[in-house]
This record gives sequence, C-alpha cells and structure tokens, in this order.
Amino acid sequence: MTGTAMYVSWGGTGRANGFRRSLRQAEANFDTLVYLAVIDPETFPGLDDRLGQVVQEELKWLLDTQTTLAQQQGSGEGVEIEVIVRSGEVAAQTSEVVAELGVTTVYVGSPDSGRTDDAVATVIEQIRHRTNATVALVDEGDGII
Amino acid sequence: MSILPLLVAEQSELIRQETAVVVLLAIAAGVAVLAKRLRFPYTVALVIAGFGASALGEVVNVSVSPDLILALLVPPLLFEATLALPWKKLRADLFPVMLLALIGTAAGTLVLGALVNQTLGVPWAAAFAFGALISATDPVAVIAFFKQLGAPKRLTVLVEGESLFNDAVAVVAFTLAVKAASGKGFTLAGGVSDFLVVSFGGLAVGIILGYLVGEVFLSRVDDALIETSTTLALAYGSFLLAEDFGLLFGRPDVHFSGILAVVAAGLTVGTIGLKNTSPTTRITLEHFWSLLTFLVNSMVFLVIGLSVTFSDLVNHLDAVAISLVGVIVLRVVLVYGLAEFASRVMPSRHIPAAYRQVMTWGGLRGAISLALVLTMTTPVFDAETVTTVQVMTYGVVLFTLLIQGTTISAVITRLGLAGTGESELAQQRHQARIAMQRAGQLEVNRLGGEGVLLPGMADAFADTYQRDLQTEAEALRTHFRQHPELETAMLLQARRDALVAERAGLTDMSRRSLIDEQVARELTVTLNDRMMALDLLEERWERDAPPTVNPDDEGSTSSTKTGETQ
Repeated sequence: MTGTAMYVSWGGTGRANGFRRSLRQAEANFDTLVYLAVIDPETFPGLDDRLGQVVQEELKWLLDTQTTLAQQQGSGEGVEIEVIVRSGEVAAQTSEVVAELGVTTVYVGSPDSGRTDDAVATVIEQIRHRTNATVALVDEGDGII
Repeated sequence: MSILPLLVAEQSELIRQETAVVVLLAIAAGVAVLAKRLRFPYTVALVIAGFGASALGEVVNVSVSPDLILALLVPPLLFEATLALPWKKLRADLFPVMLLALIGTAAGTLVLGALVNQTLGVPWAAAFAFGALISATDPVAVIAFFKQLGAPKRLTVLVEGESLFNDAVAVVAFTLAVKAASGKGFTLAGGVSDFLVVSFGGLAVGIILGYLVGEVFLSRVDDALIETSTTLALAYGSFLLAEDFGLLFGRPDVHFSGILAVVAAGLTVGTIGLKNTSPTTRITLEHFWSLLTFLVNSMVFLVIGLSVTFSDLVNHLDAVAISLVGVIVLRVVLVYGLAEFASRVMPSRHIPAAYRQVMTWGGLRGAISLALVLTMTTPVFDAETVTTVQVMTYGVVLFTLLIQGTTISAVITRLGLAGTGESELAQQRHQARIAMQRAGQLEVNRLGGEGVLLPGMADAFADTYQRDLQTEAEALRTHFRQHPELETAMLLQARRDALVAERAGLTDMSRRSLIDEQVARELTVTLNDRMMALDLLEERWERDAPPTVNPDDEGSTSSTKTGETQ
C-alpha cells in the first residue's frame, strides 16, 4: 500500500457517498487520499476575492469534518486524508495538484446523479491529457465507472 | 342644539365598530385553530371563512376607508415579507426575481387590463387598476407548503422575492391607474415619469431610513422589546415619510411611494440592523410580525367576504371566468418565458423546469390584491365597475387559493422537490430518540446524585440508557450509510446552528463590554461572511443533491490510464 490517490469534487460541499467510495477504493491501494474541492467560477459566479476566500475556508471546515466523520465510521482505515480547497478551473487545478503531490490515481466526483454529461467527460479528458494519472469517474448511483 | 345625541350616536358607532372587530378577531382565531388542525395554510382557510362571512350581514359591518387600508393594512404585509428574505440570499437571484416582478407586473397590468376592457367593457383606468392589483402574488400558502415539505431554499427565495417586489410594483401601478381614473391631469408621459419619480423616491427614503435605524440603532442592541417596537415604527414611519415627503419642504404635492419605502426599509434593516440579533430575539420578532400579518390578512379576507356576496359571484360568472383564464394563461407565458430568458442570460443561475412549474402553479393571489380592490370606491369609479372588479378579484383569489393552493403540495411532491421524504423522517426519529434518551439519562444521574434513587438503581438505569443510546446511535450511523445525502444536509444544518451560536456568544461578549467595539464589528463581519458562504455552498449542494441513492449497490468499477478507455 503506497502512493497517493485523489478525489476531486467541484462546485459544492462534496458528496458523502462519492467520497466514501473513493476512500474504500483508496483503502486497498494507497496510503494517502487527497480530497481536492475546486470552487470553479462557473458554479460560483460573481464571487469577489474576499467572499471567495471565505467560501474556501468554510468548505475546508466542512470537508475536514466530513472526512473525520467518514473515518470514525470505519471508512478508509489507515488512509491519511488531506483536504485541499482551490479556486479556479477544475481540470487545471486538478492537474496542478496531481503534479505537486505526485498523485497516481484521480477519482472525479460526478456532479449529478447517475449521469455523465458532457461537462464531466470534458473535465476527465482534460485531466487525462494533462497528467499521467489514472482517472476514474465516481458515480453516485453506480459506484466507480 | 344639544350635543348629547351626537355623543350618544358617536359612542354607539364606536361600540358597533368595536363589536365588529371583536367578531372578526374571534372568527380569525377560529380559522387559525381550524387551519392548524387541518394542516392547511391559514390564507386558504381564511378565504373560505371570508366567503362564509357574508352570512353575518349586519352583525359585522366594518367600514374601512381606502386610505386606511393602504396606510394601515398594506405596510405590515410587505414589511414582514422583507424580514423573512435576507438580502444576501436574494442577491444571487435578483435578476430573475426583478424580471418577474417588473416585466411580469407591467405585462400583467397591460395585458389583463386590455383583456377585461375589450371583453367586459371595464373602463380603461379601472381595467389597468385590476391588471395591476391582480398581478400581485401572495406566497403565504405556497411558502407554508414549502416549509412543510422541505422544498429547496432557492425556490423559496425565487417565490418570495418575486412576490415581495411585484407587490410593491403592483401597488405603485395601481395607484397611478386610480390617479388616472380620478382625472387629475393624467397623461401617459406624465404617468411614466411619475412612476419613476415615485418609485425611486420611495426606494431612496426606505433605504436611508432603514440604514439610519439599522446602523445607528438596531445593530447595537439585542432586545426583543426594542427591536419589535423599532421595526414597527420603521414600517409605518417609512410609509408616512415617503407619502408625505413634500410636507418637510412645504411642497405637499410631492409624494413618493410609501410601499416601496417600506420594502426598501425592511430589506435594509433586515440586512444590517438585525446582524447582532440573537436567535431568541429573532424568534420574538418573527412571532410579532407573523401575528400582525395574520391579523391583517384576517381583516382583509373577512372584509372582502363581507363585501362580495355569493349572488355577486354568480351574476358575474363570465367576468370571473375571463379574468381567471387570462391570469392563468399569462402566468404560464410569463414564468416560462422570463425564466428561460433569465437562464440564458445567466446560465449559472439556471432555473430548472421543475421550479418553473411550481412558480407557475404557485402564483396565488391574496391579501394585497384584496386590500387594493377594497380601495376602489365610488365616485372615482362607477358602482357597477367597482362591483365587477371586486368580484373578479375575489373570484381569482378564491380559485387560486382553493384550487391551486390545495394542489400545490402534490405538484411539489410529484416534481421531486419535497425534501422531507421517508428517509429524512426516519433520520429525525433516530435523532429524537437519542435526544429523549439523553434527557432521561441526565435525569436519572441527577436523581442518583441527589440520593433520591438508590446508587445501585441509578447506575442500573444509567447503564440501560447507555445501551439504548448506543443502539440508537448505531442505527443512525447505518441510516446515514444508506442515505449519505442526509449526512451532508445534517452537516450543513449543524454548521449553521454552530455559527448562530457563535454570533450569540460574540454579542454576549460585546454587550458585557468584554471586547472592544471594533473587535466585535470585525468578527461580526467575518461571521456574516461565513453565513453567506454557507448559504452559497448549501444552495449549490441542493442543486446537485441526488434524489435517492443506494450505496450498497457498488455497481461496476473501471478506471483508465491516460489515453486509455476501459
């Protein structure tokens, strides 16, 4: 068990379900799971710098709690979780963090239940092109596809 | 001439009016009890009671002057709505809200006015007055169902926001139509110019007064009595100041919109004046304004019920039918058209199809329309016109509240917008049991500590409670594993409660002068920003939240390396 995997969620608080799936996947293969939440301008339009910063901090606070809770409930035992919140375009931010932390597998959260729409497919494609990591879509309804 | 008969007559009139008010209050109280028991929004129950009130005839003979209705009854209806709608939440959807309020009300005034003029021969000014007053939507019943069913908060903001502003715009347009009917030198160009001056003047008066009262006064206190009485004074004060603004400068002909002043003052004071208000004070404030709104609603619904008889409705069935069809068709066109336009202009604030359906069917009419129509009297309008417009208004209100109002919850549920499903109720049951068992455990420990219970018995009780608590906590954990979306919702709610508690703690420190005012202000701004951030995150989460998920269904797993597809 070695290396770093990363769960990417964008535009919200993240989904307990998608994250837990990633954590269970990471449990068997990795010792660290990075939870990257990206606040993208498309889903949070018109945020000024100050409010953008506060949204980042608040999201970090919520995700720290959520990840702690997940581990308390027995998911991802032995996996170290690191929460990172960034603002900007999803694929670009993800690629940067992949390069910075040497992430080998990326689980991308689907922003809608059971549906892989064009936006998600585009993001996945962009991450694949910009990094050497394995990229998988974590779907709410059907697990990791 | 002796003044005694006059005094006796005056006293008898006073007693008659007092009796009428007491009877109306008794009916309102009865309606409230009934509505609560039947789990009906009270406006729906009131419209039925108002319909039956006509049977009371001479027993309840209330005469309320048009000016009194506008000055006394309308301001609380609008002010209460502003307190329930924080500016921060409204700001994100201001564009669609203003589109619906401004374009919707303007189109309603013109199209419905033209319709009743051309088909029923209602004179132009009265027709436009009807178009304006019937464009004001009443969200009370719809919002009550939203709360009951746990509908998305954004939908609530859209419905409440539209209603708040279209009420204000409708009142201004209605006033202009009445002015035109009175024939006081009204021209179209003059009307548009008046509309702008009156509207912006009213908004300016409201913002300035709301800011002064909020910033200088309310933001520094946390006291239920002070805040309640101050907001009451502000609601009526802003109305009076705007309406009689010219008197301050010896120009009695200068008037601004008192209604818009009330709305602006309410929004301003709600945003800056109540930031230090503790949850307890806020609850008192909300109860006070709810009571006042309930009394005003009761008065308006019962008075219109006394004014329009069943035979009036039957005799004007064609007018009611035409206006009703016009109102419904126009609502469909406006909501779908304007929501689509707003979504194209701001794709990030897209209004989903399900929201549009609820907003269309939820466009009920209520107290503002009835209050305005009660101000239409002779000799400004002829008696037949007054009766026709009153009956049309009452007919539309009756239909929307009785038919749309009682079926909107089914629409919300069918569209999958009801948040409180079985899974959430099950979560609440677990939480309630845990809270109950904790309370029981604490009491047993207290009795044991005081020696009321034998030490061994207290320990045995406590152990049993502990075992029950562990079982219940495990059941709740299992439930969250099965419904992970509930966990995020609970996390967000808990964070919100925690921030409210932090604010109360800060207010307490400030009130006891333990921290400098500058520190209190800095931290208050930070807390407000955090609340705002949480609102944004919650709204985003609501938009994406899956309706139902089953985490035990792991499904297929596949992953791809760069450039590969599996």
